Amino acid sequence: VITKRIILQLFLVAVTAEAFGIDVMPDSLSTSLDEVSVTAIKQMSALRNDPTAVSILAGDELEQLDIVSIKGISDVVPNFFMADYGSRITSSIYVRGIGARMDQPSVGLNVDNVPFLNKDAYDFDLADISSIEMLRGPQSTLYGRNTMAGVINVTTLSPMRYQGWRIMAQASSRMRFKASAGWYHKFTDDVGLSFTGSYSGSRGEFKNEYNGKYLDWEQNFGFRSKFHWNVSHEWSIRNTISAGHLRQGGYPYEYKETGQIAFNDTCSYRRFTLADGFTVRYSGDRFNIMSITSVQHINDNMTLDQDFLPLDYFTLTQKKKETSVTQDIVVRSAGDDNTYSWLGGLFGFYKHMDMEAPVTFKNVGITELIEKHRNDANPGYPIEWSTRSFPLNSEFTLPTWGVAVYHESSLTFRRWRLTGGIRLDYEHSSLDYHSFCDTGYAIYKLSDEGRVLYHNVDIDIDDIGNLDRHFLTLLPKLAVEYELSGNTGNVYMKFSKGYKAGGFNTQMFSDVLQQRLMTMMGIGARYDVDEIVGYKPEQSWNYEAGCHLNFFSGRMELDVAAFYIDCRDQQLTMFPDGNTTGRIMTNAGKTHSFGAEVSIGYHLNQEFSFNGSYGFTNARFRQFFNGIDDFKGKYLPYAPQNTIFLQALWNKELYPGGPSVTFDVNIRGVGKIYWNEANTEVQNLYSLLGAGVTFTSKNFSVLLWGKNLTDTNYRTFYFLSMGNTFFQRGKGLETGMTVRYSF
Amino acid sequence: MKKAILGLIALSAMTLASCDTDSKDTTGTNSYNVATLVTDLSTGESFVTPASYSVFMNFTQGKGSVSTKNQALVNTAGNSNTFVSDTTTFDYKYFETENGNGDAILFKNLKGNMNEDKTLSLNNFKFIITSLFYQYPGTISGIPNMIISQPAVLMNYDADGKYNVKTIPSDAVYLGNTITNMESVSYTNGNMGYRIVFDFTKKTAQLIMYKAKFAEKMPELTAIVLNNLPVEFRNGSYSIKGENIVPQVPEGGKLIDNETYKFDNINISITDELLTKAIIRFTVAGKFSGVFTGEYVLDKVVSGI
Repeated sequence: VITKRIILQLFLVAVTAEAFGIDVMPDSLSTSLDEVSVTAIKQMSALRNDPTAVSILAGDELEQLDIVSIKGISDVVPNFFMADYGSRITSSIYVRGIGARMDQPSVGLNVDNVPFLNKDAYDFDLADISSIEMLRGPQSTLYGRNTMAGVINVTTLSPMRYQGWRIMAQASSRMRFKASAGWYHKFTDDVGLSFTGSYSGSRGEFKNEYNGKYLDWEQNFGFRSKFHWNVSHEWSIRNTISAGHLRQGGYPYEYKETGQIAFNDTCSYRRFTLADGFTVRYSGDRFNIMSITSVQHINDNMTLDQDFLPLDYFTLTQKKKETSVTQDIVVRSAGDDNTYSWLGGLFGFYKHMDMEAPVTFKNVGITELIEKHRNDANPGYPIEWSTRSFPLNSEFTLPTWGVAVYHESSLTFRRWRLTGGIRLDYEHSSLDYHSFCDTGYAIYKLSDEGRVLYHNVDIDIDDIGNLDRHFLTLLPKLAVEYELSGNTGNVYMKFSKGYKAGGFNTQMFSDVLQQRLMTMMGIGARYDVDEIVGYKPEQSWNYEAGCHLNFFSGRMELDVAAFYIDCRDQQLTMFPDGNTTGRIMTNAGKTHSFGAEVSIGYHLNQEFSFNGSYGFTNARFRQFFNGIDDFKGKYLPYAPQNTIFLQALWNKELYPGGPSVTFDVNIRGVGKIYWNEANTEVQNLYSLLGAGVTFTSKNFSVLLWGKNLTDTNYRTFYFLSMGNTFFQRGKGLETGMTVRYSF
Repeated sequence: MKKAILGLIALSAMTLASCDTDSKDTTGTNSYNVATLVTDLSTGESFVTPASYSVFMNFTQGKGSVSTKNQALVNTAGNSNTFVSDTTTFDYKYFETENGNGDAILFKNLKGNMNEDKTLSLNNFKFIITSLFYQYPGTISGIPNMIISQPAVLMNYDADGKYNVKTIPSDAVYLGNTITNMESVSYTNGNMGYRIVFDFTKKTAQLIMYKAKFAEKMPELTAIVLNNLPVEFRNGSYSIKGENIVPQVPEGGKLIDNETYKFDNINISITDELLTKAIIRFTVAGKFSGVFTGEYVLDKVVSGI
């Protein structure tokens, strides 16, 4: 999307700060913006000075676009796509063709420098975001596992930056409501504390035609408290604790055959999250030390009508409790030496997850998927299940831990800067599984006398096992940068290795159990659990060249990047053939991706500004044979080929020193997106028109906004279940009003 | 060489009947009870008879000999022939298969004469001991496991050009490719396994087709079992033929008839002297016409000898 748009930010922040009378940025605005771009503890310098493709969205810009979660920056950041589908557990992010629908994320997320380890918790609303930084391309050297496509750093407002109350309320035509209130206080110059609470609720947009009820309703509560204490000139302490509680429906999946969203069993998602991040910082004359400790807990429950049809096939309930602890110690150089700077660190984490995921077969599922399947194979001896509902139970414990040591050095010689880094990353994952099923059926024999009982079969499956995986990898990075004269920017080239850990596909266990059951009936092959459940790490070698340029005395910023990614063992989610209930995580042989990104921010004059970004990605399989079909040359599914964002802003003070009005027109475009490996299902490029008008007075603002004003019809997701094709439609026209009050 | 000797000793130790380490050389003697297929080369008539063979090996020198005390050459009660071969060198081979790795001791050209009158000279004598412990394809309720849990022997020799003697496995699995045609649509399946279990007394065999799938859209059957197929032993080999056979399928711990996959005909033939290569032709339910070509799991051991 848009990279750091200083001009726009200058403009908006100036308007806001002045209008709100907020002491948000006591220093000069430019200094503040620099602060925004170095919020991540591991950045060696202001992001736009680094050899990295980066987009920075400041708080006011996020408010203007009604962005309260990272899903909102999809399309706005070039080559960044996070489709809005399913529920908030579905946080599939694709950047430059690299992405993940299941398990390990490809993009890391840090909120106030605390890394989020589970992407199931990526989609949450945050009130009072100061900035979102999106670093594209592998950031594995500094951020480690699961950042091979990039890193998102979210920074929330600090009580040291703003004091007072901030209140927001929003309502929309889709019966969506949001409200937040924040209290920010500085007890002394060195001690600050804030509390922020938020709520969002929605009636939903899509109706279940089976019962006429809205599906994608939502109730979402959030809380955050930040404490900041500058103990001394050298030492400071920060603590951020946050909690969230979410209840929602979701999964408005449309059956392609009928064009209907209609299913009979409940679909819902419930999630409770708790996270605490504790940072101790020492700032010395020669070096700085930072210790970041975090504890995270997720407790969620996903319930699905897994056939998404108005028939009693089967349901899934996935309950998960995960607690993780991370510790990162970062040491970096300080002082006036502009020639050589360095950064080193030690990172460790432990994650423990307990999960149970029973799939319940129901009447139609037993009839169509089991009895019919079996009786077609041997009609002379038909079977009949003893009950019309039974569960395939799976319970898992997944402890994972890892350690890493990393270093990065930067050497400057005149206008040249050479940066090299390396990380040694070790991870151990294990899976304890318990799959069990207690059911049975009767075999009958057809004879001249009719159907007579031949044999009763008891099925008592009780499989217990353990799988282990070790992953050790070295993650290098090398970049060379040349600073152009006259503060006109820089050009750079970079090589880096990306890495995504391997793991276990627990969603396959219902299939494993189903196959196990079928083999007891003489049909099908028993899966090798170790082979089908485990998957390998994904690795990529990334080559990038780009520039950050400034024109017209800084009124225009232009960022350009071109990339080539050579990826091995790319982790893909696939839908197995036949009457199966699960999804397979598999490693594609080789893929490659190349493309480019352009971002521009142009401040024409005091009143008019323009922002735009374009991302192009060509991501294809170089080698991928799934045992049946050869997908060589096909485009990678789910990764869009183009992202487009255009925004024009016009601001006018109604009278000098008085209230102002801002008009915003924007277009977001995405596509084309192939939905499957065979490239037979596709979403063509589509664009969504948005607009807003903001009236701003001293400490009060009203934003009237509209999204998808042309009510464009598009699809955000595709999948197969039992060989049936489903899509999710994108959200339609929505208008709303947002009121903000600060005092 | 040291590794080979260690492998030899380890393999030999699996069934070691006696071992002498007191002398300078390490030696051992193993005994093997085998089923042998004996053929009268003048008439081509063959029969199966049990026999016991002993192998003496000097591991230090890499030499050994093979002997028997009860090899019948004609199909009459009480017929028993003996020999002790000359001592000759043997080879050690480590082999890898898709089903596991193993060791083999190979006597490629043993010499000697049968009986005390030494009227029958031994020719083209191959004697192979292998250590591939093997189970196929895992537990299927209703079908006993196929397990090779002891070192297996593959043997073939002529007695003075009058008789041919070779080992015949009573329970063997053949793996390879099955090509099935249905209405001109060809389907190749490399996952199927064919297990032949003999009842030598009744001269019948049971054929178990594992992972049976004859067309892309056909559900894979865990196993199809064809019972009581008549076997003809002749010319140092055997053939199995049958028509209109209703197979059975395992389910719930039992074998149940399955008319859906009725075999119109089946023809199994073995094509090599050590009985390791099989061709199986069949027609099922009047629509699937299949040909399997594959090898006994120990074929890799003997290939190239």
